[in-house]
Amino acid sequence: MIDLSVNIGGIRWNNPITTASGTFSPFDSKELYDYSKLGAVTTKGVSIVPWIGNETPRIAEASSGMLNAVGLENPGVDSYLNNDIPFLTESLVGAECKIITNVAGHSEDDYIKAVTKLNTCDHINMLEINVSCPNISQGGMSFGTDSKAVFKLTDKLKKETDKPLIIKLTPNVTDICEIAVAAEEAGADAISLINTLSAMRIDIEKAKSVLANTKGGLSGPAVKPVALRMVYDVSNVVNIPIIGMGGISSGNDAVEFFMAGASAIAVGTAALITPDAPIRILKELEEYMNVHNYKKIDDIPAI
Amino acid sequence: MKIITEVKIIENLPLSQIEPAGDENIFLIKMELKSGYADSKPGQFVNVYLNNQSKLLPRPISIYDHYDNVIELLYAVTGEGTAELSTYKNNQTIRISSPLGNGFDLYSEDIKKIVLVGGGMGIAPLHYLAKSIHKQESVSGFEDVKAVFGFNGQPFLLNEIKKYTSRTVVCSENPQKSIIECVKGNVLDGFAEIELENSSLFCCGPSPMLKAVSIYSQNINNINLQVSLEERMGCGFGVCVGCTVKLKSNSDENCDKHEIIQKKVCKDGPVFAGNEVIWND
Repeated sequence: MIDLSVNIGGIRWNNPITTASGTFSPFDSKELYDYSKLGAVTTKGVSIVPWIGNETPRIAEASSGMLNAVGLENPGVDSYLNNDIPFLTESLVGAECKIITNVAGHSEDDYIKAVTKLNTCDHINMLEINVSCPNISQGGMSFGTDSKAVFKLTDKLKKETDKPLIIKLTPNVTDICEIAVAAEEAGADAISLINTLSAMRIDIEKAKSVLANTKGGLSGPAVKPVALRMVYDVSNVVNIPIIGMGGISSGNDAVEFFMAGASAIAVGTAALITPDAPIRILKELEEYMNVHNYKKIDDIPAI
Repeated sequence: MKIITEVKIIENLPLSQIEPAGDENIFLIKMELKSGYADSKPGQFVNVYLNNQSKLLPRPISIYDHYDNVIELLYAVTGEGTAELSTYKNNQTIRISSPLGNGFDLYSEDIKKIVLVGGGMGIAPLHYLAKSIHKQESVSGFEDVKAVFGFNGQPFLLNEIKKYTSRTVVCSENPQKSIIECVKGNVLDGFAEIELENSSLFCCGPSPMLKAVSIYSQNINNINLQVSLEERMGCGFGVCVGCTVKLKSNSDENCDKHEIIQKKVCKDGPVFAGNEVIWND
């Protein structure tokens, strides 16, 4: 009997697979696959007020990848609590699937206000803090590129909630280990990585960037080697659990991340291309464990 | 459940092999569907997944025709994905999604005389619409379908469309004597040949054309307009929020203040009411 369960920041997941924020919608994904079977679902970044996101085009292709500059369009925390959460909890009745709410903000105050409101909702099991957002109140550099900013933010948010905090790291930094250590020292319960890689694409007939926002974030199989390396590096400097993501498209990909030191994984872009990817990857992971006689996730050796 | 399914290619030919002076860069692909494939509505599209998986994103292509267990798509080779698609041979398999999007609405509006307005490749979903309406002749208001089509280059597939329309006005900068009812200019010039009052317009084509038709139609009595939009898409299923369009939430033309709402072209569209769309400059 295989036990796929994992403990992330004190929360038990039935299995170690969640959705990557931005690639899952409670309403729309329901028509595509049974997400109640996952260990957790992570919802799209929500901000204290609605964000309209960037101008289109927001999507471009890269070889084995995609670029997005969606710009975190979301209906805001109030709408999320009034619409998404009731629908989600209804969809998850009878299932063990946990709810992780990803939070975005343009200032420390934004995050604090959002977390304070989300804290009142008992259905939310964990909060994932997206620190890839530009700190508009402080000149626009992304929070996640500054270990001091990440420390300060994590420290403040820990005071606003008892829910376990996952800090989601941006890879667009010189030393991701420094950022990860800062998050852990500030009290983060887990770390997730990677968010998208800053990237662009140019239309050579129109002689301009394909994305209206000029730059966007690269995701998909193209980033997997980078994400894997970063998970490996971070796992060597922190003790808290790591949720690894970046181009995972198969059970074998997931195993690579466990071996690199992840305790759980997220499936993102793959689910946009083949909607049942998260469930398929869960099955493939289980098959791998069967074949290798692993009884629990911890049995997968870390390199 | 929306699904992705494997289909077999029956035919994949450039128009140059289908009709005289046909474009060699516009292709008509016919695919054999497995049983159980969902029904479709005109105005819907399918995601086409390329066999070369490094081309990760699906290509969303309007349904040109769908009958029995066959689906037909019309596509132009405009990039790497469509270029690859054009190389696929008969009996090769390819993956496509079930029909996506909302399709044209023939029922809830007060549908009057129908005028199809197409620009270039925009005639693809209009062909499916025209054929579908033709099959429902007994329904009042659907007997008389006219079309106004504009082309930058050589007009195409006119013989196919003309099976289902009572009149087809063709608009071109270089009008050809061999084409009946061919006028010089674009579709707005073509409108002069047709009485547009009390009509329902179904429009598909390049954005500047959709915008021009939308503005033009606001000055015509008792007209309604549906436009089929396109936008670069990610998933095509409504999850990634990549393909949004800005709409007026209040489409009362007399009201200056409009609240702007954003909808997804892949799922809430691609068909929207023309007077609700906020057009880019």
